[in-house]
Amino acid sequence: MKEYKILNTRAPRVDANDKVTGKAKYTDDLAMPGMLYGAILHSPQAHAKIISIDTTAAENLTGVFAVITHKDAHKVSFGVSPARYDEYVLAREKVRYVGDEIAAVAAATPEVARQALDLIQVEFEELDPVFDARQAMAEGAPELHEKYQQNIVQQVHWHFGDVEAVRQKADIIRTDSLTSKMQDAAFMEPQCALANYDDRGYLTMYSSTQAPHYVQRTLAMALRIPLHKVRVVKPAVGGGFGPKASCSSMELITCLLAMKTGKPVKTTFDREQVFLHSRARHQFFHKMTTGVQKDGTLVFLEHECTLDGGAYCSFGIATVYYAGSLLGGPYRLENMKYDGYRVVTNKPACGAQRGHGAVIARALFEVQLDRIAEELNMDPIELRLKNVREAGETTCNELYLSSFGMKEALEAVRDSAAWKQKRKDQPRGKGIGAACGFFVSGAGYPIYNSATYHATVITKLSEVGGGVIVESGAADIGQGSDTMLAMITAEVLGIPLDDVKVISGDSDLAVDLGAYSSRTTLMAGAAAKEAAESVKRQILEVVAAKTGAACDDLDIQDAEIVWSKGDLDIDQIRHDHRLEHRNFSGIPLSGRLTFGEASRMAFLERGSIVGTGKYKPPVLGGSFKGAAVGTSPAFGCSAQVAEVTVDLETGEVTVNKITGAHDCGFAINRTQVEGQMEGSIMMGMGEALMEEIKFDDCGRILNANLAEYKIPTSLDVPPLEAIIIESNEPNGPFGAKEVGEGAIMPTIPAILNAIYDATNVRLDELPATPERIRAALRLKDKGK
Amino acid sequence: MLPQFDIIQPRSLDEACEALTKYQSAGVVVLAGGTDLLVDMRKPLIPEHLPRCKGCDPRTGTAPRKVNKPPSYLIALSRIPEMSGIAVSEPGEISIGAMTTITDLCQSRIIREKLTALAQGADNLGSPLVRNRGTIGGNICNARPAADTFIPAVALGAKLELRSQRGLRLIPAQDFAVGPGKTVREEDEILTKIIFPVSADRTGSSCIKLANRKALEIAVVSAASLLTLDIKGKISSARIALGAVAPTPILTPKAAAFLSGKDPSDANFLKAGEIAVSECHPISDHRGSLDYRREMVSVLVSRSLAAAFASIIV
Ligand SMILES: Cc1cc2nc3c(=O)[nH]c(=O)nc-3n(C[C@H](O)[C@H](O)[C@H](O)COP(=O)(O)OP(=O)(O)OC[C@H]3O[C@@H](n4cnc5c(N)ncnc54)[C@H](O)[C@@H]3O)c2cc1C
Repeated sequence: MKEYKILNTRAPRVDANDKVTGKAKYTDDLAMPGMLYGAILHSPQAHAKIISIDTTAAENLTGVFAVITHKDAHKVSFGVSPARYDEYVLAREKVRYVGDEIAAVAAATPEVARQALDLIQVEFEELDPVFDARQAMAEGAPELHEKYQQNIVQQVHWHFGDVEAVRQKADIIRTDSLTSKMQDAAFMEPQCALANYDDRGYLTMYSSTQAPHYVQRTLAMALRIPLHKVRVVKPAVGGGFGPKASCSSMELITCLLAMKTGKPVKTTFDREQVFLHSRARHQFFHKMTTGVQKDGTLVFLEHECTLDGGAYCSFGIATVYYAGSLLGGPYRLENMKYDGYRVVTNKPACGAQRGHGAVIARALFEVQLDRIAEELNMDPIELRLKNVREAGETTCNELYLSSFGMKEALEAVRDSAAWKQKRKDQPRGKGIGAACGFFVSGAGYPIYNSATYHATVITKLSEVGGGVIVESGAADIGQGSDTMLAMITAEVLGIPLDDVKVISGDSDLAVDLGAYSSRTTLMAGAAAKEAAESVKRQILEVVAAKTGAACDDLDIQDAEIVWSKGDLDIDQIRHDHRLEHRNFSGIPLSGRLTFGEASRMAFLERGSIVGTGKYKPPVLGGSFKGAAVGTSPAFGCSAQVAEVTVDLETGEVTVNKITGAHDCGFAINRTQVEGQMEGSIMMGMGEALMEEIKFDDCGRILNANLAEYKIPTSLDVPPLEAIIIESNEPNGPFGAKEVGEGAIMPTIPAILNAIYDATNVRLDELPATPERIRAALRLKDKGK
Repeated sequence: MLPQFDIIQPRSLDEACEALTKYQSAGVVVLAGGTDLLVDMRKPLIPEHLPRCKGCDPRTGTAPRKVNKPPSYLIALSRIPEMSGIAVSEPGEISIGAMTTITDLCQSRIIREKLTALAQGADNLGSPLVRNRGTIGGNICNARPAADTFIPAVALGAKLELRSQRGLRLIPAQDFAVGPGKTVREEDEILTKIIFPVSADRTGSSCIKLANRKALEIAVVSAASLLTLDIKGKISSARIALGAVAPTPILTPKAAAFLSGKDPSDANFLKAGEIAVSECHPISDHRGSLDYRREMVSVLVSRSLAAAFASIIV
């Protein structure tokens, strides 16, 4: 591998100090003169017609500047996929879940705003609600939206290869099912937006978002403002994991309040509202039938899935496609059938969450592979190794694997975790399990139909010399993309990381579709590389012209201009530079021409030196319906081994260790890759063992807070070993591809398989709480 | 968002009792660490109950909570020095001020040695941040059926000292709670201290909590046991308290009586666990089902007895 100065190191994040000292500014830290506070009235009813809304008393309250209802908004629907726009800024005619937004207030203080909400009178006519996806599809079920027959938002019927033709070839055929629960992404920072609408008709919104670009488009469309007059800025963001990847009603409401009052308005969600707004992981009902030959060769997969997506479509179309398409890898599976149904119910809307659509499907398939291995009397890792694909192969649903370290990852965790020995020697109550995963490295297509670039970057030399400013639309939401952009730029330009400044997450700066589908390093990284290379060429051209050296013989190393033919004659340049900087510190007296001198000289010669870069994936995927979802310029893959102890009497699970290996192509920053792997594993562990949104009979969330919605605490998280696999992805910058989401894929099944190894019981319902495990153990004991 | 209120910060118990009586009609509550009170005072956006909501099942916790009018005054007890601290008050007695924090309990050597179950209950409560603020008095007065220091206090036979302008009274810990969040404490009374009899020789205790994760949890079931042996090594007395299986912390007298005079054997501990199941009356809620709770009572009781026995230094 090529030697790098900056890339592949453990360089500290560019925002590390600001984050740990509390200096970083999040949206709620921002304030403007005369700013008002927004508050939202949420529906207490799961399904009801709105008969009337009386806002008089609220409007008359001192300190209230505006009260708005749907009457104050354009009748324009919005959502995520243009073909399924089904939301309005504020509910019109009816509410569809406990939490639906009905009215909003802007007031001088948050207290007054909240008080005003209590004064709004809403009269409802109750409608029968439906809370279960299977019931929602049944004949005669309450209808949520006129346009969704049987409450089905999207159906998928895929058939690759020919399952019927090969069914006879299978020696073993198994059918298994798995049900999960709706989840919350439990990011640290609740959503917040601050909007200002100025006298020239420009709308600026600061927001805790993952996707300034999509938010900008939605604001312009729903609020009827020219696109170029809408600016969305993303300050520091405390995590997103998917739910912040689309424009929310809260963002639209905040803008509407700002437009109506002519004052800046800020709205900050309570934790309760984070749960109500949701847009996190769907509830999945999976059923899979898999056929294999005696030697372990996979023959076919028949897969059915129903997704409970709550009241609106949100990302649902993509979710239901991903749930099927991402089983195309990482194994050689030529015959695959998939029937998926994305359904609406009277619960908070679900959307995308880390491992979009594919996590529970992966969990069931990997658990089923273990069951098959058991029937075949084969080691589960051997069974997987026998079937894994390699670089250069194409899956049955036409996903091309340009790099693929699946085998290496599996072997790495097997060896590092001492799999073979532990698999044999452990007593009942202790278990070890393995699983693989597969994920896109950036969605191949934007959410709306467009030939847009997915990422552009503008890199500028500071005119005073020595520094570089990178302008990008990319959204650093805590995953570290600013550091990635800085590292790539510094590497290309041969300068220290500290001399690169990144400004990002602002729709005025450049285009970036956002931090979702694990796309930023590959796409924005590629654009940053191109922009930096352009800047570098421009400097070297100026140096070449000034010194008579050939441009191709020049390079920048350690912030100095290096000429492969010897020492450049720079006396005059240096003399001029020193004259210009009399009394300045750090001006070179001897040695090679510095980057500072050269970049200043480039400005003096040519004016501002700007380089641009852009990225757009090539045309990808097959021609079948829905082929676009699941396509990507590259695919990440990973393997994990989980070790657990199960208390057989209580059902409590202690995860003792997880060893993970992930193929990220090339680690731009090793610490950040490991961080993503560790974060993914913790999140997967929570989903496997404890996370579950619970509802009462009226559709209200029983645990809309982080005390009752359980995620792992630091005492629950075991030692994690993260092994980086580098397969050198040809389509990624410096060989890099994703790690942000793929690394969550194996966690749930690895833990479930380890629980089985410890207990001999299988669960078909997640999360695997002590009570569910104990119930399964009890059933098994009775069976004996 | 918190409603508006005024805070009163008395410097002595007398002052506090006076203020508590004085502001009764205006609406007043006592503030200790605030880790229960301030959380409960926040008004949720979605109301707990809707009058016209169909199909609401009162048993699954969707019944209306008693909606208290938010208090106009909070009386903070934090500036009253005599209310915190751990002291051997008399021979055979340890007295713990109601304002003693959970962290103080965790760190006290005498409590870990003499009142092991209480130290373990304190270890199990919340997280370091919550333990630093939360107090034993608050935990007991809040009277949740799963309260982590209340269960061992009941097992260890603690008495609660309540004080008001009207006088002083002592209540056995097991008689204090009368329902979830409800106690025999009158509105003008302050819990001043919790008095524990110090165990005789050949005595051990333990407290075990079962939950879905390893910290920041409300128990699905908890069990605390106190075990004393006679000189021959037989059980001379036992007390077992359970949490989260009834509207209040409860004792299981039948299981305790069964053990009396018996060998401290695993078989007897198992049997005691089974008997305890017949003495609890759990409900199903979102934290655990009735059946699971009953099954776990048996496991936790026998384990806590075994642990109490193991802790006896002969
Ligand atoms: C995140 C979190 C996690 C938690 N985890 C746990 C847990 O694992 N286990 C557990 O048992 N609890 C838990 N709790 C609840 C709480 O922390 C404990 O009950 C704590 O001990 C309460 O003490 P406090 O001093 O904060 O009480 P406060 O909140 O100040 O008071 C609680 C109640 O008692 C009354 N009160 C307090 N002191 C007195 C007094 N001296 N005389 C009369 N009345 C009084 C108050 O008026 C109030 O009604 C948790 C709370 C939070 C926020």
